Amino acid sequence: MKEPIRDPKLEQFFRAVNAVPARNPARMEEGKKAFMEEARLGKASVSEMPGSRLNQCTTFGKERIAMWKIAGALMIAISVLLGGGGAVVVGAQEAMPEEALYPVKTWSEDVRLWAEGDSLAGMDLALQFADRRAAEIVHAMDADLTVKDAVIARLMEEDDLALSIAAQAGDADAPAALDKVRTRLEEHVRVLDYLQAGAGPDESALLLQTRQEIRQRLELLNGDLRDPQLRVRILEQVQDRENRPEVTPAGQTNQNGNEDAGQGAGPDSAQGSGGGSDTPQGAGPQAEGTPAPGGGNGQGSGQDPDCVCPTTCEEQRAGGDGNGAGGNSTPTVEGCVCPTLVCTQQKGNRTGNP
Amino acid sequence: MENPKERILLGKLREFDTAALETVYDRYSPGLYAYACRVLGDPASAEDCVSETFSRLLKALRFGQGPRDHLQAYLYRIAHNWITDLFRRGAPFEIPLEEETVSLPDTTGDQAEWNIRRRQMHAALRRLTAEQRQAIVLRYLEGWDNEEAARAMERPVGAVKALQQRGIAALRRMLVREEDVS
Repeated sequence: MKEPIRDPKLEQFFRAVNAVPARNPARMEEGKKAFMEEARLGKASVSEMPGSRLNQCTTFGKERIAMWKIAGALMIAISVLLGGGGAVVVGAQEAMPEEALYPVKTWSEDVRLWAEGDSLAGMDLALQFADRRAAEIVHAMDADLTVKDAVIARLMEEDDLALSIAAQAGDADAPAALDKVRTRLEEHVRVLDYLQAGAGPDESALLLQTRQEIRQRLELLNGDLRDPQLRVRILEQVQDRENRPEVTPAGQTNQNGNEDAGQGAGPDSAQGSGGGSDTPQGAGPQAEGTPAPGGGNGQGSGQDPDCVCPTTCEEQRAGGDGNGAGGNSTPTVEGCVCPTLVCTQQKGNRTGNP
Repeated sequence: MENPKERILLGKLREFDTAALETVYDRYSPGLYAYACRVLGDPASAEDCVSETFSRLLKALRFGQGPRDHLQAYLYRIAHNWITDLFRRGAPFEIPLEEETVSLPDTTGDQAEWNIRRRQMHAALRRLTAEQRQAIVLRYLEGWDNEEAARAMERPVGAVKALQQRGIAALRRMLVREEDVS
């Protein structure tokens, strides 16, 4: 029973939109077919028991926690065997990446993350460790040391871990948790902005890429954090990143043994090889000529300070030469060699050249 | 509404059971189409809204999320969010000509005048806040009661009533006064 509008004049307007045109049966059938097909594909990608998806050990992915569980158990066992491990671990907490105790520091962090699991405390811990990575980058820049790729990669992983925990929190907790992640990510961008000013060409490219990576995460976090669909999109984005091959700032692709990562199927169903094969197998609509991560020859050195490089993926795509010459995935803008930004939507376009 | 049958249906949905998926599509897609059409005024966009709504449902299920209860409210919330995003992106407001062939609900009025009213109403709905629009459409066009609307909007019933009142007042200002002036 529809609520009557007590104003007769206004009611006429309501009546005017109440009748809707009959639905086109062909379009309806088409929509249903598409839905059922998407469901079929979705079913294939979801294991029967949700719990079993969390018990696999891989380097990347939602199973990261499970990986840390195993790493943590090994760490504890080694500590017990060697004795005095606790003192070493405590001593290692201030270690910097160039120091011998740094691996102990990261191991101990893995153990603590494992202990917290995917609780909100785990998210806080991941953010705390991401702050450490930012501090390590600042230290490296201050000390004129090379910023290690591993530190950057870890920063991104910890940010993603925090994001995925926050996005999977319940309806009541997720908005505040995501807001907290957003605040930290914004702080990381500010730190990188600050460092960018005093960076040399090599560090500049790395910092620019890292900043773009974080901004990519922030884009979604600027939406309505109460929206459950937004949280799904965040999880999808994290999953996309986890499934893509690792790309170094020089545009080289590293495979990580993840069997899905080598397929490179993109949104347009382009089948990039990306599995270490020398022969490009890309056959998608944009398989050739589109600047994409992982297919390039790496960036050049000695960047002209007057160069205007793309700062977003859209700009990067617009700025690429688009002719696919030489399979160089580093976009050239006005004769400048710019760092390659990592754009997840370009996954399927890799040519497979290592 | 929430009942044991719906709970079973939701359980099967989470398992991607084909029959359950078909049932859900057949049961809710016509209503979602009508809802989107009433707000957007464009059948093609309404179909897009339905497709995207069900696609987002599948994505949510894939991530172990999605509705635990009140499936209908959940689907309408997705559709509302999709429409709000569309409006925010500044999609052009255009009702296709063929849509004008929707016949008058009765024979007493003038078709041209009726079409003008429809356009004015669509434009006015678009100018409401997203929450006012949702509250108005669910209550006065879809015929939901306040409790159902509150569930779809994830707001208390009192807040939904307040949104309806403010929405109606805004529509009156936009439509009735304009008409009086003209």
